Amino acid sequence: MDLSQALATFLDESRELLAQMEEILLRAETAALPTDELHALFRCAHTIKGSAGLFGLDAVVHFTHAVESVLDRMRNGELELSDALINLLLESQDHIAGLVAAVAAERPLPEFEGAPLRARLEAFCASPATLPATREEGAAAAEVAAAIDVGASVALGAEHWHLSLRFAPEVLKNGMDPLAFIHYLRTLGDLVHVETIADALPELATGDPECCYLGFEIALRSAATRAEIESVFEFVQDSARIVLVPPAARVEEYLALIEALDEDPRRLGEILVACGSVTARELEAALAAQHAQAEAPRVGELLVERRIITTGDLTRYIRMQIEEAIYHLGLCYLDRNWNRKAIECFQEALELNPNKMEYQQAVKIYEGISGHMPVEGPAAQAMTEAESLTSDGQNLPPFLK
Amino acid sequence: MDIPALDTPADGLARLAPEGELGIYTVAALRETWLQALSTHEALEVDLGRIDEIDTAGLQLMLMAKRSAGRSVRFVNHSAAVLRLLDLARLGSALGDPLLEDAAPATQETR
Repeated sequence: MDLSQALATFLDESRELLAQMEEILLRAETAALPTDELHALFRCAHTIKGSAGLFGLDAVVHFTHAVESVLDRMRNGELELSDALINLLLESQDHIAGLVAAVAAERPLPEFEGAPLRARLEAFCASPATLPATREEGAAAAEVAAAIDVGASVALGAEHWHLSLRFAPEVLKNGMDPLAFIHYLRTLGDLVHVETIADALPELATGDPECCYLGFEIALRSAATRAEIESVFEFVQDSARIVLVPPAARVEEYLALIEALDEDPRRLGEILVACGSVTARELEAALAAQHAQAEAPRVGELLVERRIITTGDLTRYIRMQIEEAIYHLGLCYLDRNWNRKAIECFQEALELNPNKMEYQQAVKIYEGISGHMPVEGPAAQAMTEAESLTSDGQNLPPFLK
Repeated sequence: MDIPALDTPADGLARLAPEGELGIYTVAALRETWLQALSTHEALEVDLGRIDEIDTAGLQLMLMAKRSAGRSVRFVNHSAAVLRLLDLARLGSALGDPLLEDAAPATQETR
């Protein structure tokens, strides 16, 4: 395949899809959209994201992913298409068009310009509903839980530092101003998100307004070292509880953070998701894993003991859980755009169960993202067989069909 | 600090317009004034147009008032200093006043 021609096709296709998005959004300004148009909107973003991924256009993938998440919630009826949201989506569509134009002109992509827009998009996905207990998510969680059980690691955290700050009550009386510290953090990088924690706030009549009751959870995109960030809080660190979670930390570090803090774990989870420090899927998976690790072996043994299942059944079942867990782990990596890791997971899952269509498709669709890593072993064989069986290629971008 | 009620019309709304600092040195006095206004009126409107300095303590007092009294406390006419801090703490919408909701996204754009 001629890459430059494929890229030209991608650019053309993206422009068409963006025009279609705009058309639908403008229609939405005057009348409520029928369900099929909501689905069409989602597909536009989804296809652009997928195709952009094939060319390693991370800025496009990243931003469009935020748009796609909002559209996904809309088509599922979890989010209403308000005027504010229409405007936000129109602005976002504009921004993607700008990114595509930059690709066409071979200009560097203005990656961080989209950050404010992205934050606003993510705010629409950051309500409590982002931690859903739907069956599908629950199942995914259970599967990742199984992966942990065999020693695989759950997907990893964000690309920014996460700062969790709780100050001593007397910090204000001592002449320190926590928000001034946070303001100062801007000299070290980009404040991606700040969440003010006011859970401990007392009543106006009974509280002491000179005591500090506020805490902060902060996402800071910065190349600074731990020591550099810590030095900002030098004057209060003896009395404050300051936790720094480095970029790309394991989700377990966030679980430890949640456990160490006083606030309700579920609410803290939502805050961490709002900060973009963990994804809802990672968190749900990790929490379920914690639970499952404690419960699963006991339940399995109990079932065998009561002769409801045989040891063989149990082994097969666990094996199935593992392969699905690895597949879902791959999806977690995709959320983070850690494409090479994702494709490794898909290949691994396919190797464990070469006949499963989902794995075959995942490998087929996403191997391009990771820089055309060759598929080897039984997986490659299964792929060839799969190719002859499934030639509809429904989920592939048009130029790869 | 002398903070006169500007206006106390029959609808039971007290209007206050503190000047200067909304911060660690003034929050105790301001709290007393706000509590007193709330005890004698149905609602309180605080005009923040003349606040040129605000810190964590000031912001916290606003949150305390809002949390305790809800809709009966309203902050209006936020000065640039107040808006800057609300933007930093991403609290525009948490304080639930229309002006803030409008102002917060606009200031966020510039980061």
